[in-house]
Amino acid sequence: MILAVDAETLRQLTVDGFFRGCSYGLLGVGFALILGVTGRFHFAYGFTYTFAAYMAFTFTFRVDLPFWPSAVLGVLVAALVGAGIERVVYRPLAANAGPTALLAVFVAALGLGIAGDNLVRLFWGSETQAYFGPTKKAYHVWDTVFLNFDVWQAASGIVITTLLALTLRYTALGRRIKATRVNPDLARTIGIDADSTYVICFFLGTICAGVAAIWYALKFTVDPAMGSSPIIYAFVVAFLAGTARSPIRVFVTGILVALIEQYSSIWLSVRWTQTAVFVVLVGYLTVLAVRSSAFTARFRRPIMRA
Amino acid sequence: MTRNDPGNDTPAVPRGRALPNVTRRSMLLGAVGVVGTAAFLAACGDDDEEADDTGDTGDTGGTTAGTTAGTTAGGGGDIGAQVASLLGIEEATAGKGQTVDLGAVLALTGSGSFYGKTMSRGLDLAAKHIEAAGGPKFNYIYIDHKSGDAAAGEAAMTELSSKGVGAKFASYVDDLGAMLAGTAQYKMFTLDGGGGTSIFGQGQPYFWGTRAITPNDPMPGLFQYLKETQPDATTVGLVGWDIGEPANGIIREDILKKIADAGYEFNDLYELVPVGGQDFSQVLPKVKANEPDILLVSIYGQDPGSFANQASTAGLTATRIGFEFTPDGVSASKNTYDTDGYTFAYDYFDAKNPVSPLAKIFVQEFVAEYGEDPDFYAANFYENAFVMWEVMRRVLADGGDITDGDALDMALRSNLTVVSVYGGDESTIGTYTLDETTHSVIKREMGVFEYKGGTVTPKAFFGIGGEGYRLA
Repeated sequence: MILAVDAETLRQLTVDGFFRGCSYGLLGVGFALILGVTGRFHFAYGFTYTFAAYMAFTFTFRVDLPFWPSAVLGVLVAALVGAGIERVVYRPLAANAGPTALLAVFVAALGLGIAGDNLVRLFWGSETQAYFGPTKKAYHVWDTVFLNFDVWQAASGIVITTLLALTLRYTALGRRIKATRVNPDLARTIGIDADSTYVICFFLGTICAGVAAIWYALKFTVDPAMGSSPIIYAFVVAFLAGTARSPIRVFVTGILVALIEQYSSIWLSVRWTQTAVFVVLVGYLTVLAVRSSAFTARFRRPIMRA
Repeated sequence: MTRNDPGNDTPAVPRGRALPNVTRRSMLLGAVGVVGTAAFLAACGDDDEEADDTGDTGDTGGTTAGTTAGTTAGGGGDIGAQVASLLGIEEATAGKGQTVDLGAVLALTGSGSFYGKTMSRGLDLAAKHIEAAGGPKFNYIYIDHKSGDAAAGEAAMTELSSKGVGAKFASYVDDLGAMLAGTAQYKMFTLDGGGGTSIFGQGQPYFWGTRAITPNDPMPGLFQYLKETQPDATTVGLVGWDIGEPANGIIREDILKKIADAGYEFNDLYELVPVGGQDFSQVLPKVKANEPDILLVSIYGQDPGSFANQASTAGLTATRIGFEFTPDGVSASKNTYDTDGYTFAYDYFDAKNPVSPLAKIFVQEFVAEYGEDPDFYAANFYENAFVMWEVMRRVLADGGDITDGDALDMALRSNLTVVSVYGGDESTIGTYTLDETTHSVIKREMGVFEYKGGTVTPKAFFGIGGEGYRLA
């Protein structure tokens, strides 16, 4: 049998893939916003993801706030940290590094990610922490199982992505962001403060990561290494979708990536499914490169305009 | 009006120049503010507390600190005298007054840093007791292998050898094998109570694994237990960690042989998952589609807890057997261990029921020193420090140099049965025995245990190969 899996397993993989993809999509939306507008390879995105979960955990179990205010506060604090990273670390570095700004920011981001991981261990310990919130409920639909957390994760991802897309399309802030993305220098000449736009993008992008982190923490646990994998998926989704594309496209791409990962487990051992995702990414980028290369240019028919 | 318009006195800031109002001071203040806020909030509660909602499931024992503390805390003279008496220490060959540098290459950062912390606690407490009992002063040189980073392990070997260190404690099977070559090259006598030798690290020069190899070593005894308690079970499958080839292949071959030897049928379910992954949504449908009667869950740390949580939600009915039990696993299970129960089989250290006098001293003093029950890894490294001291005493009795790795290795080989906090009885200290060829344990107390509702209950005890099997 080519499919090598029964219908029930396929449905479960699809459901799991969809919900997991909503997380990937949200991560990708945030990362694409940051990278697409600012050009900063914000490797510390994984640290802000982890930080959001730990702050929410701290507000719940150390400050004794109810779950929902804790979660919101945790995300907001992490978003401020994300914005602060741009303001305090990346911007001065980029301003001083000149032509090597890209590399300088990348190295700084890498350092921040590593330092952040270990700061979390220093202040909260290395142990895994169970994060409890609303009561977990399992739904059984058509021989598949999923949780209420999955549904909320999907809903929040869709809502945030839609709001972001609408903001970009219909609001002054959105126009400002798009203008800065296209050409920050030109945007400055027409009075747009590109620097504060960058900060706003970091804030909004980190909100995406923070929300994804809360659902992850609820479904699984809070641990210092929880951000190391999401940054990879955020990167993959953002690059596959295109960092200058609509958030909705990025979000849908996240779902597709997760489905590829889930379905590849039908034929591959689970340990290779992440590799399958990277194979798709590399393949896609290769196709793009080939299509735009000088070699293939000779085979492309010129577009005749009147 | 834009910033560049004439008449706007605000100076334009050309690209490539630092903004005038961003100074090093403001950057520093910003960073300190973020870090300080986080530290303040984190410090609002105890770092070592589990979340209240985990209730009594937060640690392997479930009691509060200090309840098992009895006599003198912190390795004072009383403890020293007790230990010296228990071990029959002869002052002439105890090594008193000497200071010995010992390497301790552990996971101090990264995903396994929790284990580095608990292992170092066992080592530190043992050093205190050894010195109090008339032994040498152990000066540990702690080096971080970053939870299995090969480059870090190799750098550790270079550093230790440059300092003339003749012996070390290791984990992760000598950093997933990365240090084995250096261990042999520099003749560094090594005891690994974290990962042991596994199957792939057996027989390596100067490297000794002092814990049972999981899941392989407990399997014979485990299957005896399952034959008695679940006589209708016939098929076995496995979900395990991917630790790379050729180790995966070597381990798999041995596991399948043990399944066949026990008279079970392997149902072709052998799924390897990434280390530290908490999302098992890809593997659970595969397990469900081909569910065995007995599912061996050979994953460690927090992973078995996450797996149990998701397997329960997915409605798996197979009897699941794990091979490690840690506080991280309990946390990750999100109360599933407590409600559904969690059965595991390995050389678990039952801190609630220490048997031998040395084990009782260890538990009592550990609680007094650190405020919580010791776990399996702390116990292993505590006893390994005593094994190191035992080997050193043999060297001293022969007039040798206790900083010489060769001498220590030969001294161990002269008698491969050494002191342990496992096993024994009310009046006798337990021991374990190593194999001269494989350098793995061939005699070590293991068992089947069940954790449920905050309590660990022993179900059966046995040794390597199921030797001495008996129900609890």
